[in-house]
Amino acid sequence: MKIKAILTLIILIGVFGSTLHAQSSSAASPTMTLTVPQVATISVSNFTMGTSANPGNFASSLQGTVTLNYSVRVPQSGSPNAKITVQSAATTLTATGSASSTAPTVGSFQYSASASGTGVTATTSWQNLSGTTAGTLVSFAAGTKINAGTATANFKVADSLTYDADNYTLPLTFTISSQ
Amino acid sequence: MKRHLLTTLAALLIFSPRWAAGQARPQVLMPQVGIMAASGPGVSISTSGGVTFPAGNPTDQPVTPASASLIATVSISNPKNGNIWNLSLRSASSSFTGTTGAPISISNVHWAATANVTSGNGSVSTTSGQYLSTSDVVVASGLEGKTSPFTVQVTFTLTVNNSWNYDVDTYLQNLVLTATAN
Repeated sequence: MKIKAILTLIILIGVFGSTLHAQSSSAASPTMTLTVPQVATISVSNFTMGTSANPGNFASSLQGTVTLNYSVRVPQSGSPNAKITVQSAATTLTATGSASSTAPTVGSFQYSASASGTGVTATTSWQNLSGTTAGTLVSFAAGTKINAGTATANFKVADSLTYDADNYTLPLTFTISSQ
Repeated sequence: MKRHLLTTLAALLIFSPRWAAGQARPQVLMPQVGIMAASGPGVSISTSGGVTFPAGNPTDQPVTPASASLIATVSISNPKNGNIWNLSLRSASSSFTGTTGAPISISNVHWAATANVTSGNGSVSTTSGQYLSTSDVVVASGLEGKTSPFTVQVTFTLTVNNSWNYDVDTYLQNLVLTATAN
């Protein structure tokens, strides 16, 4: 009997001991912040409007197109005014042959655009190009997210008797904004 | 019956502090148990701050690294030589949340960890990095040494998968780091 009682004691002590075995823990909760920004990129190549017909038909117009490659991510909140615009970067065209050549004016050029996609609206009617005010080619709705978009910008200029035979260049500025 | 009574009496005596204080042989055992509880390891954890992911254009930057590593310092006072300690990591919730943007799954966050002992003579090893979840995952573990304090520094390298599907916004979520010492 004595032996059994002692065994019981030992077993109980063992259980008691294990319940008191200490475990300690501590926690930390650092904050993660993920900032997703607006995105607006655009690329465009040089393009040619074309060559006047010979013999000339002064009632015709020269027309050129260029592809705009862009990506955009527009905020959902607020009233974003995201768009692609075009503006002449010079007030006059530059003749490459003769400085005295009479060139078309910047205002005689017109532009329009075509594009597709959710939240994408193109200016499809012809608008006059300006050297002082940016004109909208494409506009984007709030929350629009486009990874690799394309839009086509169209330009035309009416031929005229007043223009001298020459090559003319006009720098254009295309701008995309996400807000 | 008599045997049962004797056993019960023995059990009651074991749990009686008075008895423990007044008896000779069991007293040797009881103070030992008391010492274990009083001198057990104490663990604390601190971090270097928060984690910031400055996501850019997903086309140019499909994976965004955190602007700085997250450093967690685990310190164990009264370490018990040979006992196991560990550090686990999880996300407090399943998604980053913003003010207007759609939630972004936390499973886009990937972590990798390196660690080294900066004080004491215990050991540390890290597990392979993986994507974050809401379940605790042991990041680092090892054995406690003899010297107090035993301190380990764990450095986390965190990245997030960037995507065009994310809405413009600032998103927040908390990590939960838990250090345990036995």
